Amino acid sequence: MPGASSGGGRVGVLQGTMSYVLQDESGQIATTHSISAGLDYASIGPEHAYLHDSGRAEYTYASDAEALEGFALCAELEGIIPALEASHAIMPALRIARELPQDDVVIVNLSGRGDKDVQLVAELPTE
Amino acid sequence: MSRISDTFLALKGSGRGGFIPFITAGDPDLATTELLIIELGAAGADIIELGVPIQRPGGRRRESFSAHLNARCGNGVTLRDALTCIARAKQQIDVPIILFSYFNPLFAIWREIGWQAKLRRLESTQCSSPI
Repeated sequence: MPGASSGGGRVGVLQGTMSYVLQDESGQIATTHSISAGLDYASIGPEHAYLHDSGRAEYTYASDAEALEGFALCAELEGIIPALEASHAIMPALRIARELPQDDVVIVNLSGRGDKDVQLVAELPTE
Repeated sequence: MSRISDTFLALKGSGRGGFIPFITAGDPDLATTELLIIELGAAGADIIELGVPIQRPGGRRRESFSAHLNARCGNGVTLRDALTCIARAKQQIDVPIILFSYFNPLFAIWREIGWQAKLRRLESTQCSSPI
């Protein structure tokens, strides 16, 4: 589940790949931010763009705060530390699950492990 | 043959190296860039490379040539500005110009006005070649 890049952008070419790209009207690539390095990018993989256009997949997004909330929740409830990239999927998955019948099964694909992110999360200022 | 090829053939024929300066559109402003193109042409530049600033090179964590441009030219100069600048300078000086741009701004214009129209636009500015 890509981050903010899946929420906008138009077709462009970044680093040799045509896909949806965050850019201004003159084609200048937009600056981006994400708490997860893997999502801090102004474009999405072209396969995702294809799946989006063909209607075979729907995309959503999560903020940094939601990703951190999902990160903590997954660690507490499941004993699994997800990568911050994959953490973006958890809160949207919970929102979707609330709309489904009790017996339905929702699969969240945790595409990476969060060992690499523990220090970053630990060093974040606590509210 | 393009004007670029013609220039290199002429240089080779005369046994001398070429003077091919690189400048950045909008550094420090477009009026100066226009003046620089004219003056460089008058000073004997064989070809001029004109760079179009890019806001975000390939990742903000990387040092790159484009980042250098970005640091010096945060004034919102676009590809269209560069093309206009070339067209104005070309009214006064005839020197081959290579447009050095990241691909996406060219692609954005193509998406808007079509590929053929884009080529005509480049020709109308007498830009010899885009990179």
